[in-house]
Amino acid sequence: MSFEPKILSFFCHWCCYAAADSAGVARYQYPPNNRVIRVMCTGRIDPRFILEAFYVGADGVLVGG
Amino acid sequence: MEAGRSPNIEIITLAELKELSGKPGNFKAKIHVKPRYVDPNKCTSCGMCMTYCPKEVVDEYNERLTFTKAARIDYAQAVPTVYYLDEKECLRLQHESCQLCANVCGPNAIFFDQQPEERELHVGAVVLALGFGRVPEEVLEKYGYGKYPDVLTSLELERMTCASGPTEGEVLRPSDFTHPQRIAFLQCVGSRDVTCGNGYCSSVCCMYAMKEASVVKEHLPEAEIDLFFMDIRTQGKGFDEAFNRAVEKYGFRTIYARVPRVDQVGRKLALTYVTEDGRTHRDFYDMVVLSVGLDAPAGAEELAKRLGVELNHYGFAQTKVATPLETNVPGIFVAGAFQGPKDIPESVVQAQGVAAKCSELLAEVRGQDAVHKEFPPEDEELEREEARIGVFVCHCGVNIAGVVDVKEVARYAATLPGVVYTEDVLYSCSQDTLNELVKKIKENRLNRVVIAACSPRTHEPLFQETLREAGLNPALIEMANIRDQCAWVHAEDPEAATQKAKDQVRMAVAKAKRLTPLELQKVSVTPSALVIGGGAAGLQAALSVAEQGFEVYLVEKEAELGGNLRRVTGLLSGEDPQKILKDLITKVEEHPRIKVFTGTTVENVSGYVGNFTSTLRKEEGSEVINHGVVILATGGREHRPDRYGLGANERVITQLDLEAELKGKAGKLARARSVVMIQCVGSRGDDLNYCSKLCCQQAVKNALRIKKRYPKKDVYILFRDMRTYGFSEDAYREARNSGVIFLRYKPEAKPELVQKGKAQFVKVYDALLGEELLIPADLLVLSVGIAPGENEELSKVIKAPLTGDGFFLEAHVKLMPVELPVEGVYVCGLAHGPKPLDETLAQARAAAAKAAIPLAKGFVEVAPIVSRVDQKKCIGCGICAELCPFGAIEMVKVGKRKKAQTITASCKGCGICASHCPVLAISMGGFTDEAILAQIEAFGAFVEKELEKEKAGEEAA
Amino acid sequence: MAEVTRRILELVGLKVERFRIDWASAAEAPLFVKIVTDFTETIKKLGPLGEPEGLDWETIKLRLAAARQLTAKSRFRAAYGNLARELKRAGDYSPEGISRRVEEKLVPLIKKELLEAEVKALLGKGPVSIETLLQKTGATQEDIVPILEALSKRGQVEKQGKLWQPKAKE
Repeated sequence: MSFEPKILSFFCHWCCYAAADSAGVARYQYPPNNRVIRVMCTGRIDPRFILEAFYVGADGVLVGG
Repeated sequence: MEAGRSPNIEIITLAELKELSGKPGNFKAKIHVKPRYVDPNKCTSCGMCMTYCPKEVVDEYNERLTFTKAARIDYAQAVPTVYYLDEKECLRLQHESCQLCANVCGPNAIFFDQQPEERELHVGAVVLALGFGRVPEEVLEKYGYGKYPDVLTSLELERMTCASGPTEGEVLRPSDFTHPQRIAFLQCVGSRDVTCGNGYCSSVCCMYAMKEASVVKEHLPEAEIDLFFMDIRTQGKGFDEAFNRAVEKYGFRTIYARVPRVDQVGRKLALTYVTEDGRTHRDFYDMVVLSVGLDAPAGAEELAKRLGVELNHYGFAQTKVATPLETNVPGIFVAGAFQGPKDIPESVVQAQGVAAKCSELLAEVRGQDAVHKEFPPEDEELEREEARIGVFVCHCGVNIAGVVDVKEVARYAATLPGVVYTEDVLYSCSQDTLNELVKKIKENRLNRVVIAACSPRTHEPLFQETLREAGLNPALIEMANIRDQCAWVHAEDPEAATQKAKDQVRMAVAKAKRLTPLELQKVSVTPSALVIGGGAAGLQAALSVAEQGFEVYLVEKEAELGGNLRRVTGLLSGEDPQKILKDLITKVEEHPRIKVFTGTTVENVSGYVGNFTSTLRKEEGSEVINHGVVILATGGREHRPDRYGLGANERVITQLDLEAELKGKAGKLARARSVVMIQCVGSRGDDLNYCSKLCCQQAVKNALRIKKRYPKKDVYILFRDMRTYGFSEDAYREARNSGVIFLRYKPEAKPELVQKGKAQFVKVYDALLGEELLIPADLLVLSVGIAPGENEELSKVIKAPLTGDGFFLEAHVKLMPVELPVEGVYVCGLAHGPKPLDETLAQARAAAAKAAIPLAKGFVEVAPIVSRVDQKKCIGCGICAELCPFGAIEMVKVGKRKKAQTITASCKGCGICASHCPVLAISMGGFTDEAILAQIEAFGAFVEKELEKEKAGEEAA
Repeated sequence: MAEVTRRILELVGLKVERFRIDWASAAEAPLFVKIVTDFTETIKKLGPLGEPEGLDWETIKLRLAAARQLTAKSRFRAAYGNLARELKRAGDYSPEGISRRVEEKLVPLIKKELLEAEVKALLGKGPVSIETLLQKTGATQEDIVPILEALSKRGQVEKQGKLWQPKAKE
């Protein structure tokens, strides 16, 4: 079995989260490895969240503004 | 859906306007309401009637591609979400036999003896939004439609590609149910065709053909698709870019040819056509799609006659450029495709514009008879109890359930801590489900709700309102996006999508446990508007806001009002643009509620919706004003590229220069024997990446004006695609008939300017002759397009983004076409994108309508996502106050120490303060540290499980 | 934020490529798809957490535990907040500017705090040799000795032969 990475994403409500919605509307396809936490702005992101994510075992963390 | 939920909108379906009497502001309308045979108040839309109805009928909603029942609902999201009996088909109503539906109907909602009803309504204004009609079948028959089963209309294909449609999204040949390999789209069927009486262009078909072809490609990646155009008319904002991208991505072949007929040869369809080089081709296809145009709506003629409303010669409402939303009858307005074929964004703009028109007319009685929605008090005791979470997993028809195993997700949710109730629902957003939701919340004493469905960006407000109806604080809901960001984007991997959905639900539940009730804040609104820009758009917007009863500050940077319209000297409709402009300016200047500032710039805009403060700078000094909303009407400018010697050679001018010539002595024009116009100079991929939408109309208009004044002069128009969409197609035809010569050039072989002695020529390749022509061009007129104004500075000040082309980016292209992502800021006219005058004026009213909403309400509700400082923890370091990009945190003295405090109404909820607080004293409404950390932890559970699985796998190996 | 996070990850010993920050506006769905796809590919190539880093799960857990503690600590957070304030005042958001300031103001603090937490965590499990400490923390002798000395000065640890162990409270 190939390695399926576990990725946690933090998306900004106004930008990346919206882009992700439009990607859905347009039915673009992308790998199903990421799980999403919505925040109102990337400014909300605390280094703490990223480290916490790795601590619980994320293989990668993506912040989308 | 939103309209259906508003307590101030009554939707009367199955109804017809029979008679209208009275005058604007005071009409009496007689309405004839046909029976539905189902009581909408009793119907729960359970669908039992339809299941048991024995009478199968052809499904008109699905373009006759499948069958439905005599008792039915056309589609699941229909408003009202109530079934009806088809009078013509129902066995009981026709033959007095059968009453199965009534027998199985649980709530006894079926009434066979319901009678038509006559109602009299007292209204102030009437809006005709009749939509569009269908191209008659006779027109389609010449393309083999009806004779050859694999000739489809674009509407049929649209239903076919719909996931909940008759083939569940599969594209099949009706003749043998195989997947077509080669597909042709024929454009301009029932449009641009005088032989069928539709001489106009339907404006939307080029774009929708591209969209449908793209969807087909998604389903059938192997399919080869050819599109046959007369011209590619993708003139809307961002359309060219989208079109080109699709062509590149899917490898569509675009062919300039009008296919005259379709023949069946064996199992294939043969198209015989002539391309522009004069060559004849014969190609075979598995499926032919007719891109049918938009006809005038059925029944419009009769209704118009009853109301005394004038129609144009095609049967659409007759309007003027100056008043695009008004019929000839005062108080009767028009919006949408009935005013002329148009797409969704244009229709929404007109609809909003017409709302402003009504609001202007009825400003005095605003709020009378309005119903305000009341919510029950919150059950605070229940909210304080330990989390009792209800999880609702939505099928969204097949949108989610077609990929994600919804039942499995619901089963899984039931095992999560804190969850006391789970259910999977067909459409969580349908009215009956929402009513159910309220019931379920109460029955199970839920105090937190998780909806696993679509995006919170679009649907959270709806569910929040439902929570309020159930007596819960609206902040106690969390959504898991398992449609837009799961089912739709992982369609090919149902297993992974289901896993992802489960994980997102677990994370949502974890967050829901930590949600706390939040108070909705109301902030009062300064009842005035700042309109930036004094061109046509700004003038009209200012006037509309003022007519609706609010103060307006109209700011123009130049010394006089008028903008670009000052340079336009004629219109295709025959109206005088200078008179239109003068009327607008006079009305604005004389209006008691409008204050005009010319020679003024807006320097600083601070604040937030309802309470902006701006500095207006004049040469003499500056003035500070307070206002509730901002309308951006900053316009655009003529693009003057350094091409064809423009600026250096005085026999090379632009269309706007030509307008001046045509108004004045026309010296240059009089001396020229031959005039050549070149379209798209610097546009569509050169200096400007886009189409400026109005240049083709303008060129045709000016060519006609030349021909009228000097019938003997030769006029040539060199173009890439003639984009005389809508009714201006008539002018294009007229120009050709009056001897204007049109020649298409390819972008890779642009016309060149050649000087021979004193004479000036344009060299261009002619496809039909197959050689280069040298056309005398004593006067060369360039259609140069519209460049964005100086928007960058303003974009930064207002914090509203621009498109890649430099125009303001609307909040949503289709649904919020005049709103910017920044609340309380609206856009219209060329600041939004290039467009002709009638569209600008309609859009200006749309912006005025939207802007008037907070002004009329008198308050805005601040979403409770704002930051809150725990002053016990705060050490007064001031980092947050300094970092806040919105100036929304102030340092105040509490006792002897300084403490941070949020200015709620300014706060946008970005959270920079919270993420930088040394002592974690700041919490964000709905996005607390605890909630986010809980989500991360819940994410971790997924990781652990995976690890275990892997270990188990290794051990097994 | 990004730079600080990267530096912490570096000090923890994780590949910084595991963390990415990128931008796509609401209008840029295709770009968004590209970002997600690329990032997933990158991580796929890297392999599971710890594998390319040559760290076992226990060590990662130990170091990340120290890191998450660090980011919640007010000493670190104050320095981090002040740094952000300084950047804003200077109006200098160039990558070099940020990197230089982070290096100056934060990295020494991060290093020290991380090591201290890791050492404490290791000692919490019983006596350990300095070799084990070095191996588990990935630190150098110069980094770790001052920390041990400081801890013993504060009376929190003591040396017994070759092994260090927490000092029992008297």
